Amino acid sequence: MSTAVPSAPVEHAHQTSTGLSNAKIAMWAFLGSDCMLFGGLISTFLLLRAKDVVAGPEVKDLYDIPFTSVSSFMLVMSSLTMVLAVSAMRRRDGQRARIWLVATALLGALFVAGQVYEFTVFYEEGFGFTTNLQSSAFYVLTGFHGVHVAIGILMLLSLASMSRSDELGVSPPETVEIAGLYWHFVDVVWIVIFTVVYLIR
Amino acid sequence: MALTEERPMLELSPGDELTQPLGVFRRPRAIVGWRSWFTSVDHKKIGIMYGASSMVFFAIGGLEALLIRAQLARPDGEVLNADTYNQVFTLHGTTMVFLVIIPVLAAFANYFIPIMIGARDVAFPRMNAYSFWAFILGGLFLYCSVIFGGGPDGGWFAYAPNTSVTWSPSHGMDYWALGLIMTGVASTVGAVNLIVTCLNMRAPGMTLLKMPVFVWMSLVAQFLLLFALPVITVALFLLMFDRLFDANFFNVEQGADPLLWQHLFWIFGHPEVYILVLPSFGIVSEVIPVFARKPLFGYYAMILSGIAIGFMGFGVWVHHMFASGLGPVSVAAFSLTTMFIAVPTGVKIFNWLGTLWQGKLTFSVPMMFAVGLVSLFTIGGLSGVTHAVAASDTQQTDTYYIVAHFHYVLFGGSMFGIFAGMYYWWPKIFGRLLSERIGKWHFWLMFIGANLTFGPMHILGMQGMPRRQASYPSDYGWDVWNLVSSIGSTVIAVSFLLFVINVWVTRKNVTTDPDPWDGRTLEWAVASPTPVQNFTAEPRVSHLDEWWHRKYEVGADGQLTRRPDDQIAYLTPVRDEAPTDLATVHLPSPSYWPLVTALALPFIGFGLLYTYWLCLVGGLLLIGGIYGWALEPSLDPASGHHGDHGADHGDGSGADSTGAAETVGAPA
Amino acid sequence: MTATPRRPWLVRAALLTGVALVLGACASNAPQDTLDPASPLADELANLFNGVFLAATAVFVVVEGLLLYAVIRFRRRAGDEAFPEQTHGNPKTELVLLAGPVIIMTIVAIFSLGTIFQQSDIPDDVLKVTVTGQKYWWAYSYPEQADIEGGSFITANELHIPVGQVVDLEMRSGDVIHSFWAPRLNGKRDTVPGRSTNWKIQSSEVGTFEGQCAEFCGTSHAYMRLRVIAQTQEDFDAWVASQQQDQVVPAATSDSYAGYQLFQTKNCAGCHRIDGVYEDVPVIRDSTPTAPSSPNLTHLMDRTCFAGCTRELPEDEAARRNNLEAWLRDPQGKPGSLMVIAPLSEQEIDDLYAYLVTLD
Repeated sequence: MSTAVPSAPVEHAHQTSTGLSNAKIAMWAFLGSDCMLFGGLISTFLLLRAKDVVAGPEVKDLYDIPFTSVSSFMLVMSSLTMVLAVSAMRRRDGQRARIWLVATALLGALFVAGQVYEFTVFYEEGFGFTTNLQSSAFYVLTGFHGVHVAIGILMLLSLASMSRSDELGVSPPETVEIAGLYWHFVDVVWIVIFTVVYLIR
Repeated sequence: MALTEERPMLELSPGDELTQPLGVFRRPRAIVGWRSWFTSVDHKKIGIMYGASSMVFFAIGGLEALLIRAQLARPDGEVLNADTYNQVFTLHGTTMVFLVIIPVLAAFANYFIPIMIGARDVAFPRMNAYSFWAFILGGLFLYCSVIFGGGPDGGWFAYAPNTSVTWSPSHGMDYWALGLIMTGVASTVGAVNLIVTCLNMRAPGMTLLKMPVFVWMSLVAQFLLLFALPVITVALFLLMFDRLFDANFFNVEQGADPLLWQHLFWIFGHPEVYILVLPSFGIVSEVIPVFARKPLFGYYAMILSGIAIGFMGFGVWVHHMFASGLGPVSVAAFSLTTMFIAVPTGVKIFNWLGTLWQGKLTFSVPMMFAVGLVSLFTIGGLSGVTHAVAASDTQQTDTYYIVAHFHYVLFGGSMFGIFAGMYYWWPKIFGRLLSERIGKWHFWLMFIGANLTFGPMHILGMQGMPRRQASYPSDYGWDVWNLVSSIGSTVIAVSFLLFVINVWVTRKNVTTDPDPWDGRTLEWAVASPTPVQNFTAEPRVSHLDEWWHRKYEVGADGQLTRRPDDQIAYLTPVRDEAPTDLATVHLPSPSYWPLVTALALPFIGFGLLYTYWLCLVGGLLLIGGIYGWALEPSLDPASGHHGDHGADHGDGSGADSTGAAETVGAPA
Repeated sequence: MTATPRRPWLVRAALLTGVALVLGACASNAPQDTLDPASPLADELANLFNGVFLAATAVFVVVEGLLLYAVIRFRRRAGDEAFPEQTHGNPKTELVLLAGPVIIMTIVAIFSLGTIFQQSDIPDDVLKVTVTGQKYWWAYSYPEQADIEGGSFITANELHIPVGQVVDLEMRSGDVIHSFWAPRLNGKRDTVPGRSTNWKIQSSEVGTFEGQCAEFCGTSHAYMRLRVIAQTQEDFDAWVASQQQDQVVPAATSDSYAGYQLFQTKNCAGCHRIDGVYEDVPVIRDSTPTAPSSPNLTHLMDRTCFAGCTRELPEDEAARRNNLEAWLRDPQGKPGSLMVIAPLSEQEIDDLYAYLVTLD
């Protein structure tokens, strides 16, 4: 039994009925499900924001739009680096792909750091998790999104560490592509949240 | 379930070293013996485990039903106190919906979808095992509430704010919310898996419109799960945050609107009804043609109506809230959508009638249950129409009339379909034939019991008896019908006992007949019980009801004739033929990681309730489990395959065949 | 497989059950029978139900009839190995069958949707009453009477209305969701905390109508009953006038004085309000579940029931004493009751009773 990593046609594709890989369809299905999750959370936030605030500040008075715009911009840019990672993977340029994967994760991490900073500031201004309807809804919605980003970062870093050789052993291009699907989805969800929660009052 | 131990075994030569790259841990080897059940990724074993555990939960939920009926048999009942009664009916509803019908339908889907579409396994065998473990651990976690300080007492619908800590101070509702999040994770993962299986794992020639109706209805139900579950997951998280972290989602003092819960709950809750009933419709649509000896009437109409029900099911949820004061426009709109969901449902009933019409009907037990479903579900559907009339529904909602309605739908519909499936597929699953005689007693007692129990509830409801009553006074005209209903419930209990007895007494009633009912679909073309590899070679499909077309041909005189036995090729060695050489078959190897990863859930759950360091343990299990999962060697080297798949998301490829695909198809 | 043997006893049992069901549906003495309406509103609903029920029955008979016919007629005879015609369906038949439910549902929709709008249409000439559901009793306040001499007042569990008059109920909740339901007068409507909605009831005859909470609201949900008392306009006016009177503190020499004091010392007054005597607690609780709230006991003896209408207050002195004293001995006799009271001696119970009976 050879121990060599198969280097040739890694994608020795199993004949699937649709021609798409199982994992890719699964990711699309999961993202469809996740849409409903964020749909539920965003609707909850909008409903609760429409109510009169009984105690504590309103979230609209706390937003630091320039700051959040910058962190949002970083998340959007991370989609770009993700695209570059996928295309490097397609060219079988593992070295380059790893750099872009790490860059994507870094941008994501900066976004999460920005979110943590934002939460801290809000909390210090008396907008705690239990303060009022808006605060509970705001933290749960943005928190759920933050957890999604954090999971994505772990996923990207794991992929980067696995694509350590240009043989791309266990990390075939498609795996990176599927991680990319997830990453772009999380990004798009943020664009919706930023628009609906932050910009539209 | 020792019944299956005699299945053919996968022989592995001992001493093979695992030499896969990044293969940090060895994979378990055993596929027989009791330990193998914990690591199995075989869709058939997982299906059996789903079925067995959901039947245990059915017995528990049934005992709860008997307690309810014992309490209500006479006015001012004293069997249970009011608080216990509330816990019992909450557990009854939750158990039957989340821990019985969903998983038992998952059992059938798991076991039969791959075989019916000509696949070796589901798309992601390890994720499949994970779904099962998450489900069973979630169910057990939920029931831990009963041991640790009181069951959930807010009803399965858990309307806020009655579920707040103020009004429900025990941990019961916490266990409920967290347990349902866990079973929700299980069902979501399962839905993704089965959807990909249906879309992507079909044998060559098995186009979507050649898939058996059971596969179709299960597919629709999985899509409903996929899109409905996240909504209740949101609701459960909000409730959990409210109860454990003092959030304000349902805190009226902070200006919250309790109807938010109802909207979230029922946006899930109504599609849920179709999740529970569509696969049963699928089972019945398989059973009736076989026992009528003619094809399903209106296959396309059946599938289209199923899809239509799936879509429309998301647009009717407000009919659960007709009495909450939402305003006439939305009430009228949802009244209208609710009425018209009766149309595709009606189509199904007509098509079953059309299939029976001019057939040659054989009333074996599966057929009796199938016809029982048609007759009982018709009643449930029609009482549903009376509920759709929103104005007069303000009289019926929250009364026993609606209890009658949804038991005709879920017991007369789902459960009858499930028992039809049990009797129909039992020989395929276990290689044992259930007794027809006991089965017929089972059917008649269950049929009579169901009508006796749920029929009178229509009258009770119209006479103004609200549901969820821990007791009732004697001078309201409700005494007689409650007694009749309670007697009926014991008849149902006896009938289920007969089923258990049937399973026991026929445990040695071995059959090797691969096709006892003269079936139409591919599962009848393989040995009984199904061999571990499902098929010797990948089948080539050219017809709807492929197996039937391989057995029968239209003769010169235009008459259907059965081909000679030597021309009918089974897809695995059957009876006493030599078993397939499993070395030629690539099967997914067993794995520890689904169980380990799922074990994280109850740790996190207990941690949230009692002490956060348990969450840490759960978190480590989760992360460790996922990495162990991703890094384990993807398959056994003995099969001669190499790690071209596996260590990506999930299992990637599932099982495939290294043998040549089947060359001998049926003549077209 | 042999065909199922015919079982004549089964048929007989089924027939008997059917007949019994029909008879049972017409049972008398069902005070919450939705099909025995006592108001035009409930009458409309009963008619609507009966109409749809009739249509459903017709469909039921046709479908189950066809099913039964098929099951009997198309049974495979022993030894019959021939195949039936292998039809896969018939688009024309299927379309016709599709038309069936569409037509039926369209007719049902046409006849029923209008009622939804009628239901929420509140006429101008109404009597307004605010209904507040709370664990586990009903509070009714009559805000219109505020303008009349004597002012508004609050009563519990028993809703008095003038016969024939459309009553506009403003539905509120003090804690969780309840549902106000007097089946013979109209359908039910939830009381949702934080929301207020309107619902009509009306009675076309003088009488007492039973009802109860129809939305699960906690341990004592089954014991949250209510009563609607429809009176002639004169009787109603007289009742209003009497309700508007404050209670007075009993004379120190009277038999009821000891009980009056106990009402304070045993902290009954911490939760129960008696207008003109004990006014520590707010008139009504609204969405503040932690605030104390118990039935206003002003004019308790004018009522026919107490404890969420699970206990009677009959005219008969002995029976009335028996019921009230049993309650004072053990309020938890009503499961889940939120009333807490330190154990009382028999003397104290007698004293309290002596005070309570003066509240008329």
